[in-house]
Amino acid sequence: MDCEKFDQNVIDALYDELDELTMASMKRHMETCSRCASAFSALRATREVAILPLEEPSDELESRILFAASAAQRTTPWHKKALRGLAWAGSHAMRPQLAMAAVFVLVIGSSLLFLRAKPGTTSLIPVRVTERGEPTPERDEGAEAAMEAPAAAASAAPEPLAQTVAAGDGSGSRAADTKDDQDANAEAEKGKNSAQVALDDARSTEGLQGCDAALSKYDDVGVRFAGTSQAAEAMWSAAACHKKRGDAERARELYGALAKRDEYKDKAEEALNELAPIQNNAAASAAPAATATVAAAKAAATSTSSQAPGGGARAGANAAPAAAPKAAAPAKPAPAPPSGEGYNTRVPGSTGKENASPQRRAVSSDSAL
Amino acid sequence: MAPAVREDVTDEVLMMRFQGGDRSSFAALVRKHKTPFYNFIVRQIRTPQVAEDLVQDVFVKIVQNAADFKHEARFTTWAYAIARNLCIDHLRKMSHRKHPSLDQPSRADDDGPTLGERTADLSPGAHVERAAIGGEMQTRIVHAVEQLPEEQREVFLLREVGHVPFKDIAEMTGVSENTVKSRMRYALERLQNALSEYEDYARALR
Repeated sequence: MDCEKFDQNVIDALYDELDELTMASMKRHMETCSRCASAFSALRATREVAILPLEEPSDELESRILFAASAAQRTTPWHKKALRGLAWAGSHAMRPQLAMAAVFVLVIGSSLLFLRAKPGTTSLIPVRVTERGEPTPERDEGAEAAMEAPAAAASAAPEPLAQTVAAGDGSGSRAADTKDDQDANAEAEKGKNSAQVALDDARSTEGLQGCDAALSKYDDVGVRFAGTSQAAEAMWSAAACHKKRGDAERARELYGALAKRDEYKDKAEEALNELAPIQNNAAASAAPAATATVAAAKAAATSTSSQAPGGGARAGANAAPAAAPKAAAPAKPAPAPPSGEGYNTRVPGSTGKENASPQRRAVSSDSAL
Repeated sequence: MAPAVREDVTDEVLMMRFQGGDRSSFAALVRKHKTPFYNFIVRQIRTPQVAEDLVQDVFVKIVQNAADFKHEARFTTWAYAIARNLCIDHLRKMSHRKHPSLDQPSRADDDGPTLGERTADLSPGAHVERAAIGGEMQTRIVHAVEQLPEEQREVFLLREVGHVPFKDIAEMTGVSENTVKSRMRYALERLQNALSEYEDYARALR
C-alpha cells in the first residue's frame, strides 16, 4: 500500500469502517512510512479527544415536542392520514409471502381465462361449418344414418320419414346432425346445377383420359354433393371404374352404399353379386377347392331361395345334395375379408329376392360389361 | 418502567409502531433523539432557543411525514435529513436578515463557563480537577467545531453526533463518499490544530 491509498482509507480506519485485510495492509504500511504513521496517530488522538460534548436542551422541550406533535397529528390533513394508514397496511401487505401469493393468483387466474376461451371457440366451429353446408365427417355419418333408415324399414319411405326414424332412435346430437343434413340437402339442391356440371366433367374425363383420371373427380362429386342424384350417379360410375381396374373391394363398398338408395337398390345388388365370384377367387385363390366353393355357394343360394324363378337351379341343387353341406364348411371362412363386410353381412339377413338367381346375374353382368 | 424496556428496541421498529398508531413509541423516539438533534442543530444555528424550536419542528415533520418512512430505511439517516433541511432553511432565512448569526460566536465565547456547567454532568464520576480541565477542554472543542467551515462541520456533526454512515451522508449532501471522507479528514485536522495545546492535557487525563 502506498501513501495515496493510505490517505483514501485513513478515515474508514479511524471509524472502524474498514475490512480486516485492508486494515492489516495499512498497519504494514505504517511500519515503514513514518509520515503516514504520524498522520494516523494524530488523527486518532484528535478523534479520541475531540468528542463533542452533548449539551442537554431545556427540560420542557420534550413536553413541548409531544404537545406539538399531537397537535400536528390532529391537524394532519386527511390524505396524509390515509397515506400513513396505507404505509402501515403496505408494510404488512408487501411481505414476500403475500407478494408471491398475489403473483400465483394472477398467473392461475390468467391461465384460467385462456382455458375458458378454448371450449367456446370449438363449440362455435361446427355451427359455422353447417351454415356453409360443407360436408364434415360427422355429417356424412348422419347422412348414412338417414339413408340406412329407409332400408331398414324396407319400404320406399320418403326422406322426412327417414329423418324421424333417425331422430327417434338417435340421441339429440344425432337429431341435430339429421337436421344439418337436411340443411345440407337444401344447399345441395341449390347447387344442383354445379353438381351436374361436376358430374359431366368427371364423365368427360373418363371418356377422354380413362378411369384413373376420372376416379378422383367422381369421388369429389360424391363428397361435395353427397345425397344428390348426381352424387349417386358419380358413385355408380366410380364403382364401374373400380371394377374395371380390378379393385373389387372399393367397387363393392360403393355398390354397398348405393344399394341403400331405392333407385339403385336392384342395380347395385346385381353388381354386388357379380363381384362375388371375383372376390371369392381373390380370397381363395390359393385354395384348391376354389371352384367347389363357388359352386357350393351357388348351390346354397339357390337351395335357400325356393321361390327362385329358374327351374334348372332347383334341379342342380337336388342333383348335388351331398356336395352342398360338404362345401358349406369351407365356403364360410372364404368370404371373410373385412373389406367385404358390406356385402357379406347383408347376405344372411337378405331375402331370396335380394340373392339374385344365376341366370339374372349372368344377364346383368353382360349388360354391365 | 416501560420506556426502559423500549431502549433495546431499534428506532426503525419504534417508527413502525408509531406508524401503526402507537404514540408511546413516538415518545420513546423523542426521548432518545431530542438531545442529539438539539446538538446537531445548535452547533450550526448557535442560538439555543432557536435550536429548540427547530428540534420541535423536526419531530413535527416526522409526525407529518411518517407515511414516507420506509421500514427498510435507517431512521437516523431519514430524520437527520429532515433536521439538515430545517437548518439550511433557517440559515438561509438568517442570511437575508443581515447575518445575525455572525454575532453568535462571540456570545458563545462569553458563554464558555455556562456551557461547561451544562456539560459537566457528562463525567460525573471524575474528581473536581479533572472535571474542570475536561470542562475547559469541552468548551474548546465546541468552539472549534463551531468554527469549522460549514461543509466540514456538517459532515463532522452528522458522523459524530448523528452516527450517520459516510455513505448516507454522501447521499444526503449530494456529494461522493470520498468527498465526504475528505471533508471529515479536514475537519479532524482543523480540530487537531485548534486543540493542539490541550493534547498534552488530554494525554495526561488518560
